[in-house]
Amino acid sequence: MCGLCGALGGPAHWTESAGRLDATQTRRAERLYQVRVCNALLNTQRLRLDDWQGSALVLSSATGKREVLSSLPEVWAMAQAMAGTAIDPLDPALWARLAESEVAP
Amino acid sequence: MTAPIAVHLLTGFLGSGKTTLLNHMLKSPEYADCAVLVNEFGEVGVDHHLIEALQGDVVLLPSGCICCTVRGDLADVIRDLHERRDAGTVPRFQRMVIETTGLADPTPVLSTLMHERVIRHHFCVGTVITTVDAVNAAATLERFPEALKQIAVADRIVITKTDLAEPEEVRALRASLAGINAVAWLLESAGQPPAVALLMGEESNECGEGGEALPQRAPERGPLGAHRSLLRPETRAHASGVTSFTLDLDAQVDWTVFGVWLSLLLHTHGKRVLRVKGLLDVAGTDRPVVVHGVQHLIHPPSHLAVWPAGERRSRLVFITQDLEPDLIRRSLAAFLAALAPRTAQETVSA
Repeated sequence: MCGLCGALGGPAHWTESAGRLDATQTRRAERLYQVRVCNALLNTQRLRLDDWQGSALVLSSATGKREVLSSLPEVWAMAQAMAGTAIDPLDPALWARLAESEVAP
Repeated sequence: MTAPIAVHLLTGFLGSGKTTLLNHMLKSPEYADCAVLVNEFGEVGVDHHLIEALQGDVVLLPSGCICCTVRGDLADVIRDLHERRDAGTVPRFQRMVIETTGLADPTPVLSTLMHERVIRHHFCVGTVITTVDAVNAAATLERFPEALKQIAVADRIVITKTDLAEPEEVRALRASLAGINAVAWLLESAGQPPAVALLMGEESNECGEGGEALPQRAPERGPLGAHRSLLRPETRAHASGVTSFTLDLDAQVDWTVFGVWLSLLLHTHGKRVLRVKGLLDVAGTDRPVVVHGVQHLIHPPSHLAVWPAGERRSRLVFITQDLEPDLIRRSLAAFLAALAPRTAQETVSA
């Protein structure tokens, strides 16, 4: 439960479960890496994702709209609402753009 | 903390032999530690065997099995039964079987089990058992998309009435079912239903670290770059556009990139991705990671202790509807190649 707002946390998204059993990185570092990977995709829609204290995600648009979210499915749904179109992982044009992008170390 | 109680789903189209299988479960001592949730007592003929009516819609059968009707919200019934189990007013059942109606899509039931805030702490998803009628299956599959989905999400497919069908028909049906769902075990039932261990044996789902190996097939090679992924359609696609295919990945997989890719794929095309199941060779661990999902519901991934017999490599089986398998293969390869620099470094340095 969040000590500030009293909100009950939902179940962890499956991507947060132990994908890497012998993880050499902390949970926080993994989360930041996930945000960087997401940003490589979201940048194609001029959107940006930030981690908030390891407990929430903040999605921002180029026009200043911001939404606090809790999981990847919410990020994709909100990104679609903000950009007006979905990021389609099966679109070859997206693959070409990803190939040119870099995930920040 | 006590182990979660496995909940198995029994589904199947109208007249497919679901009730016959249920009747067996309710009478057999093999299911003595089982709580069975049915639609109607009358349908399964439970009245003749009733020895003790417990409170509410729950009865205790001579076999020791608890039988309960679901009249309202399924989640309420499961929570109530669990409370009674803890209070000792019903026997301490170790397994649960839920019968869905013939026209039902099993996915919402799975969603309740995985996400309801009380239930998910005490129960886990077991196997999805789908009955298919050997005599009428072909016509049913052609006319009712619900039946197709019940087959696609199954872990066990029980072909019933095989004694009433021609052997040639049964063989053709088996081939057709394997084309729709390549990960389910195909079992036959003519009179005597399959053993409990076959129907409800532990497997690689959220209930534990079972060890069901995916079907082993001869490896093939292709010049597809660092993240070479190989695509093998199991059989021809069903006329409905539902097909099974296998993706093999040569390099170790970056878990983060894979998770982002699959979550995005399910967001944009979830209705057409009926099933994902397989083992991943994840960078950073020597143990295989089990991935298992039904539509947009992905089980919490688990680790097997060791790789099943055979080579160590990622292998995913997809069941999709009207989605080009090659697009999925190329998409995953593109994501891993572009977004997983760490994996490439780890693979090279290993």
